[in-house]
Amino acid sequence: MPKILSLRTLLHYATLLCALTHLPANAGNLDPLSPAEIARATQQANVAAPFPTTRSATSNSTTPVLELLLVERHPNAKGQTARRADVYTYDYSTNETIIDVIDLDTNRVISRKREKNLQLPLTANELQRASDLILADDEQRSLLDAEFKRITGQTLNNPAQQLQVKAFVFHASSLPEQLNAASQQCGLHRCAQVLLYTADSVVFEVSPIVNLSAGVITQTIGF
Amino acid sequence: MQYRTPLLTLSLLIVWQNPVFAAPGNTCTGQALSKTFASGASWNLCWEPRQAEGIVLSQVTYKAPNHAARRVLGEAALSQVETALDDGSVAPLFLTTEAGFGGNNLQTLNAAACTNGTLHATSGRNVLCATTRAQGYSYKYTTQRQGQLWELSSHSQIGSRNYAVRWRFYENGTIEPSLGLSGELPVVDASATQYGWPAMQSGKVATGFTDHALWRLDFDLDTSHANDVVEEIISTPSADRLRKTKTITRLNTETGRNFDPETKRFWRIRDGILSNGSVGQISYELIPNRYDHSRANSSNTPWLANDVFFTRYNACEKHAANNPTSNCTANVSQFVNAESLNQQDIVVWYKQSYHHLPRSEDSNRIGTVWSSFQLLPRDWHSTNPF
Repeated sequence: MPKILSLRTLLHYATLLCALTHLPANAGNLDPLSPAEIARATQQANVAAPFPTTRSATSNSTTPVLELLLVERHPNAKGQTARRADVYTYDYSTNETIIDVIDLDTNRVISRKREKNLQLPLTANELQRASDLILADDEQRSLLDAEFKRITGQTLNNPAQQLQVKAFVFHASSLPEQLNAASQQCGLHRCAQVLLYTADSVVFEVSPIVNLSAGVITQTIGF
Repeated sequence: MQYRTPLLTLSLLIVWQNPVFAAPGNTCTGQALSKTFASGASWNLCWEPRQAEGIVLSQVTYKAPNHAARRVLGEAALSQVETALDDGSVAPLFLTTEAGFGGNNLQTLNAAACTNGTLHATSGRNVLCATTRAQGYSYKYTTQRQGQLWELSSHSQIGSRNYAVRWRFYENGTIEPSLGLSGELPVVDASATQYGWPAMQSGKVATGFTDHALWRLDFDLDTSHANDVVEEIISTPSADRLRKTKTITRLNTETGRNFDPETKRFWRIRDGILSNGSVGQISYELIPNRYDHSRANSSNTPWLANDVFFTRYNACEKHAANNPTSNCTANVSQFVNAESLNQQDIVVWYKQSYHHLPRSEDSNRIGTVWSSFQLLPRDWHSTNPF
């Protein structure tokens, strides 16, 4: 019996061939920025605003002056294919978000703006800093120990292993009547509301607010 | 010798299918993905992750069997989600721009999270699951047909919430974007009973909350993005309610509009020129799957005052609210500034509000709740292509 390919098999092959021949792995000039382009955009933004890496005249000498928040492709008007990047950097010395638009074809800064009260999501560095500040604070630590004991019945002796930490940017306007004076600056300052979880994702009912600009924990609220 | 005819047929099929996919060209951002169903119907698009929106789709093209491929959307994403607690103790939070559906919040998926599907990676992490599923009947009469759909899903963990963003692309051209809510309940003290439900095992009250999701849909029907129009269609009952009179009104300037169950008000985005080869002009219409929660407007903010907004495309109008690009205004109610919509590049901002009053079964994992809507072809073809 001679083997004859069925129409179904043929269709299958045809579909497969079309899929293979017509889909480029990468789609073109409006692709997201490559790691090399992100590095180049960051470098241009840094060249435009050289700052020391730490500041000294504050309560917390480990506060970085500049924190790179986000680098992403600048939205082009339709039909425009120029490679541009938006670089968002937080300047802790003035509490401003700097927005640089970089032309990646010419390696030039096209525009630079500084805005107050504009808070992008926290970076991994900032989350780590908030977490370190909380765990180093005796009052906070005893609160966390008690909460961990209440939820799990166990002792919190290795926070890095036993806890998960997440955080949102915190604005004073989000809790207008419950804030102390230190938290009132949040929004103008860069603050984090920190959520703590057990390793199996049970959320703590206490949530510390950390003013990252001042390097202090301002208060603890219920979650 | 017996293979000559089948191979010839195969070559012809390849040639025939050659124009199936519009060249992605330089307007497609990120990685290309496609799905061709056994019927020959196909979807073709690109996807990329962004810090705020999570997964963003672009150049979404549909092809029915034996028809030309046509673009539907230039770009589409969940542009903003705001969450507000019922007790008003905390001001609403912009989850998209203040926390982000992308970045570290975009979850790495494993094989168990993508049963029978294919995982797709970005920067070495699997973040998107593509699955083909049975749709059930696509029609039934003297004959019947079982349809299929192609599903793209991602998950973002934001605080104690887990959000699934799911796009379903049906074999018949329908697009269904959905937002799935799960995670763990927020808690307040028992004194706030009127703002929640005693759903926690501890007897504490879990606070109710409302999520407002605004989807940004940049319609670029077929080859030209700049010649689309928006039409509002109502069917008004007569005084004796025995007849319904259809009225079509073109929306000529940017505007925000509301659903109206009495007149079954709906909208379609239509190509300004292209017909389906018969009497119809190609378009997609908006179908709300549920809008009984849509009048919730936390803090009485103008960007939540309408169910749907229609604006002219502007690259820096990215987020429906808390839009951080300083070249543009801050929210969609300000994007509506009297620009023409007639034969223009149209962006639809579709609002879905969902109020969650917890139940005991949500403790200590919220049972996934889906909110979705559909984009349905209207006169995209002159007859049912199946």
